[in-house]
Amino acid sequence: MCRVRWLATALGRGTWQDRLLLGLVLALLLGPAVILVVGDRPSRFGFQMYSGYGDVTATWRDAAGTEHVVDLDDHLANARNEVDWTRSLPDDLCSRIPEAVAVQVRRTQPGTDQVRRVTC
Amino acid sequence: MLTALRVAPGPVALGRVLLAAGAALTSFEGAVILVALRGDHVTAPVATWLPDAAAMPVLPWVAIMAIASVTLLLGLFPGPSAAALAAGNALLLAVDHQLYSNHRFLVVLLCAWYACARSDHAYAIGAGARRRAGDGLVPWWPQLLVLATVSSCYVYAGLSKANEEFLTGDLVASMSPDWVPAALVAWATVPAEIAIGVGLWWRRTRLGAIALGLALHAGIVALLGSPLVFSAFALLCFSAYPLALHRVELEDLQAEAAATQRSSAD
Repeated sequence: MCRVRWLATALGRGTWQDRLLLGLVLALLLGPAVILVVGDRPSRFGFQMYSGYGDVTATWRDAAGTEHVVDLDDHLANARNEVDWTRSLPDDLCSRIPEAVAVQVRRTQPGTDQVRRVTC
Repeated sequence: MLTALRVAPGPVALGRVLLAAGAALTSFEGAVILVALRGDHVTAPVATWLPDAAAMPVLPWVAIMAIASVTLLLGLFPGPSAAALAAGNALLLAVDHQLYSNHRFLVVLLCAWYACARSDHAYAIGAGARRRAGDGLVPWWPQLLVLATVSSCYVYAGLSKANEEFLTGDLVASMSPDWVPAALVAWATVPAEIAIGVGLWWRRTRLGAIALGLALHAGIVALLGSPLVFSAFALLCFSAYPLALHRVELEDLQAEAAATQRSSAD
C-alpha cells in the first residue's frame, strides 16, 4: 500500500507526459475489460482470441427444391465470427450462385440464433 | 519521472528482432487474404468511405511491409520501419472486416510502441556508434507500453475463453489431432493465459510466466495447426519477454526520483 501511495504521489508531481503514459497503460489494461463486459461476444479490439463464440453457415436451394450447403471458403477470404454475415452475404451468394432460388445464412452466437433467408 | 527514465538497450533490441519476425509473418498472412479479396471473394468493407480492399494495390503494400520488416530486424531506421508496419497493418484493419485479427491489432499496437523505443542501440547495424554517441541508454516508457499490451492480450485471451462453448473443448478438438484431450486443454488454457499475463509484472513470477508462455506457444504451434499464424503470434508475444525479464522495478523508480531530487537540490 505504501508503494502504491508513493507511486500516486510521484505521478501527481509528474509531468503531463507521465500522466499520458499512465492513461495509456490503464487504457491498455482496462479497455479490453470494458469490451468484454459491455460488448458483443466476440468483439474486436479486446483480445478475445479463439474464445469459441459462434458459427456461420449458409445453404442454398435450387429450382427443384434441393438444399445445398455452401462451402464458405469458396466465397469468403476469412469468415470471422464477429462479423454479422446475415446482413449482406445472402444477397452476395444469390448473385454468385446462379442456380440458387433461395439462400439462407445462419449466425449462431451465445444466446442468439440469427437467420436470414432471401429469395433470389 | 516515468518518461524520463532510461534503461540499458539490450532487452528492447532483442524484442525488436522478435517483433520484426512476428510482424513479417502477420503481414504475409494479411497479404494472402488481400490477394483472395482482390480475386473473386466477397468483400466486407468496414466503411463505405474507406478504400475497397479489392482495389488495394497488393504488391506495393507487400513490398513496403517486407522492406520495413527487414530493416526493423536489422535495426536500420527502426522508428520509421516500425511505424510503417503499424500503419500498413492498421490500413488492413480499416478496409475490410475479413482482414481484422487480434494478432494484427497486436502488431499495430506493438509496432507503434516500438517505433518510439530507440531499439537500435544494440543488436543492430551501427549500434556501437550510436551507443558511444550518447549515454548508451534508451527510454523506458515505450517498454512499459509493450509489456502492458502483451500482458493485457494474455489476460483477456484467457478471460474471454472462460465460457461454456470454449470449455467443452469442441473448438480445441476441431483444430487439433484426435489424441489431444481437448476438454482438458481448454480448461488448462484459461488459467494458464491469465497467469502469464499477470505473472509478467512481478519479479517473483516473471520467470515462471515466461516458461509457461514458451510452453503454451510451443503447444499451440505444435497441436493447433496453422503454424504460420500461431508462430507469428508467439513471436509478437515473445517481443515483450526480454522487457519483462529486465523490467524496471518500483525501487528503481524511487531511486531515480531520489537522484532527481538530489540533483535539483544541488
